[in-house]
Amino acid sequence: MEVNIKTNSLADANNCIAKSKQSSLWRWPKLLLQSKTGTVGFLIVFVVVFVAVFADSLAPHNPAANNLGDMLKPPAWLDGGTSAYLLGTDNLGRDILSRIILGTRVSLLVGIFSVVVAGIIGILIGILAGYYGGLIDNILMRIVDSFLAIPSILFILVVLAVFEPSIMVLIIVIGFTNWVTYARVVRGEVLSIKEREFVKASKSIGTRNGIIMLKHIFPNIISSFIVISTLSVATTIILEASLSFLGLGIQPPEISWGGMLTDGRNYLATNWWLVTFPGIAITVTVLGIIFLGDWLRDVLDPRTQGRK
Amino acid sequence: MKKYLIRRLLQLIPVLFIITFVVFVLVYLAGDPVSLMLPEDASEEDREALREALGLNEPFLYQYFHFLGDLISGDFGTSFRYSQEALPLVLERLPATFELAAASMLVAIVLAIPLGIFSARKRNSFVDLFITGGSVLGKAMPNFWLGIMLILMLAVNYQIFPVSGRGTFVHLVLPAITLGTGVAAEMTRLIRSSMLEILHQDYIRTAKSKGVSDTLVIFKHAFRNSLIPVVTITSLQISHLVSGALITETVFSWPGLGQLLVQAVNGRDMAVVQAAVFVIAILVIVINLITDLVYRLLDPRINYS
Amino acid sequence: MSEAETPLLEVRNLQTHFFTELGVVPSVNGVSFSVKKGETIGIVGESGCGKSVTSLSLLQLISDPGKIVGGEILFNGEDLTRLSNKQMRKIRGNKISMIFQEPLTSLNPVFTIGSQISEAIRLHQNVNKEEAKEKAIVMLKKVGIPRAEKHYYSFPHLLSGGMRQRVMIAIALSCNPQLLIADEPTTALDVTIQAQILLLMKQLSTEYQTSIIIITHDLGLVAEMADRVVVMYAGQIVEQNNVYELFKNPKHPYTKGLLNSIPKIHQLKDQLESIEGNVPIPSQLPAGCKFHPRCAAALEKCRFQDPPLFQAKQGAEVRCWLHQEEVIGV
Repeated sequence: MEVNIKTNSLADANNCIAKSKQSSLWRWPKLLLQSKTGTVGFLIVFVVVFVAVFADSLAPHNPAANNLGDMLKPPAWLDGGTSAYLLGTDNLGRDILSRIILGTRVSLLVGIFSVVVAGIIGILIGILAGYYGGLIDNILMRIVDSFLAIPSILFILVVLAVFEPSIMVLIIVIGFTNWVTYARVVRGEVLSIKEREFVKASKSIGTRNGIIMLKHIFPNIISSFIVISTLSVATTIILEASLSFLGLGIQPPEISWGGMLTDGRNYLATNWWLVTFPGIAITVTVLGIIFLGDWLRDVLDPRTQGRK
Repeated sequence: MKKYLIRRLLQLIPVLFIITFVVFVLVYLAGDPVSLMLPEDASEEDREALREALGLNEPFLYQYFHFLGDLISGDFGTSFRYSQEALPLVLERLPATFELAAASMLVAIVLAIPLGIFSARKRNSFVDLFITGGSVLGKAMPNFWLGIMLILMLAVNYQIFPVSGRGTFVHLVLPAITLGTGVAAEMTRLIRSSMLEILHQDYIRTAKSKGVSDTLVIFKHAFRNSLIPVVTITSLQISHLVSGALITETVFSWPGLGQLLVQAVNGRDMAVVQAAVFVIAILVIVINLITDLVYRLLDPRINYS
Repeated sequence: MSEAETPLLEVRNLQTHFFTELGVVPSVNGVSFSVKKGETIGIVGESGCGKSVTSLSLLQLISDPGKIVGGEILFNGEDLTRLSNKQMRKIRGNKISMIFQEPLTSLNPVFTIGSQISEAIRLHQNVNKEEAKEKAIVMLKKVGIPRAEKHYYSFPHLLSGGMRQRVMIAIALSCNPQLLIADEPTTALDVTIQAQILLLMKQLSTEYQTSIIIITHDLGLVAEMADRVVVMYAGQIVEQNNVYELFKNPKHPYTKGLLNSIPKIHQLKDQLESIEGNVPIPSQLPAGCKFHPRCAAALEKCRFQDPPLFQAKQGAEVRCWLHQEEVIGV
């Protein structure tokens, strides 16, 4: 624990952060087990991340390999299904389970990294607007309001009409349209934090603005960032799946859950498993993230406590 | 009131400015539309002549203001795909989209209000658990997948409803449920939590102490207040409704604005994309303005200064 | 006490408990008192002593997880605890009405004050909308709201705290109740407004022969308003007497402490006295006399044995071993 003592007040602030860091290590598992949905959410997210990381070794088949001999095999427990293809095969004889396993990667990549992009822009702008106030704040917040006035899907569609969609484009475009939420929340937090004693004390001894923002303000907005970003990963995963389903997102041969649903839709009348399992994968993943996010909010955000 | 309205309308100017600018920059970055508009074997002179005619050789800002001028006169250009003016093309799709949106909101309201109130009143009961669980599930389930599953069950397996298209009332049922439940999920949560907060307010106790019945306490004294936060969040619901409509219309081949926009994006039909985006954006802004006014009607504490 | 008339309200051994996750909290634990017609009684105690819960219990407005678990509330000889919800609603706002502590939040923000008064009138009297409005305006005038016809259509947020409390009084008295319960009616108001509101309550209660239960921690207010005083501590009554005797001859060490903590103008002191310690949390009550940990005169006995209410001199009822004379209740 490195505490850099400058003044009492500063030391207090640092101590506060350090202390919560130290005790939280042991607090977390305990707190998690107290909440059933939190635990379920954590387990789901853990499994999904694990699957995404080790997708290549976990997939029983090559997810891209066409096997025209085994076209449209039903799931293993139905008549005509084989244990080789647990969740059946699609119209090109590709193993659905393997494709779902590989699909976790795209979902998580887009979900997590677009939130990172949005978070970086949003936090930066939010801190600047909140800390300096005045004209900067006014201009930045007008821009934020303008973005909020329009559903972000419209911006995303215009971009996707112009640029060839890819994982990278999706991450950037979703990130660039979602930063406003962060900017607004962060600005609000900064406005209240900058009135706190430890910031004032730090200012009074002449600490540079940049240092104050980095050392005192940034650590204090992390918890609200974690809360919004977790839930935002969930909505982004749905957004990516929707876009891919519409043919505007991840393009074949890249494997995505939304894309699997597009392929499967043509076989709706005869082969239900093509559309059912990828949808379940999305729903369960998103559900897990929402549970985890709700739990994090209850734990990290004192304002929501007792309001459940 | 008048002053407030005027101020709100003035605030829209930067919003519209930013939208037009972003769209213009994107289209500008997209590069030369000439290659798309002329046959492959067109000569360089032909291309240059077209560029000149379209004003593409002018400086960036000049082009932007030209573009703005066109927008104001309603000229969004011509659709490649339909060889028609883009704006009328977009406007003729509006009734279908309005029909779907209205039906979905109806589904959402009919579901969310009773469920939200009920689960707040029976807080922590089995029913409450069931309703809150359902609303989380509704949030987690992608709209389009719900639509596909509804088609699978109710249109394919049991042929109660048509798979797609627009026309009679039965065509409307599945799309409206698909789009409505997504909105209802969020709304139920909101009504529940705002109800819970309001039921603990002092004025509820006052109403009870006057001898007002439980039912009236809920529906007269509490509900009216609980609508205030619900209406405030409507702008978020509108975003949800717009993105939901794009997808639901595509899933059910509903001939609305959403379907048109998705097709235009897929086909790089920029005139239609622009026209559709602007029409939707303006609709959203108008709806937000209306909800804002409704909010002010609901809450007498707000003045217009 | 000499007359043999039946009291308007008689509370017998009332027990209201809260069933929380951390265990059962006995907020009101065996409270008995009575109110005669036209009488004003004051219930006094520090916050957390159970006085508000007592008042809410009278109207059966205790919400989950609280519950009346024992005792009787006889109103005109009828036990309110046995009434159905529907029968109880006919009493609330009609025969017994209530004023609360927070005038700022006690009126519904989305309805006009007029409609909130008319609502009470129409619930309990067989009148149409117009008549209810007329009556409401009469009430508004009576409680001293200027330009009553105009303010009938005002929303609560446009009125000051004092004005809002006047509206609350108008609502409470609109059906000419026999009993008015006022829970800290002036705590949230400025001192000058306090006096006005109290005067108003006094005038109206004389005019309508309304009995009043006034709940407060302010002994000055009690001295001014009440005929009789009930002192509560930790969910029990610790002393009960008429207002003159209680102020002249306080018996219970707690009452003495409360009286000592009032500033007196002719006794200049550097520091006000206060009672040492805090009100115990209802879920962690001490054994024996509930007050003994804070009592300077505590005996050995006080630590183990809970004293019953004793009949003491000057007509007092005291829950203290120091006044062990004649047991009158538990």
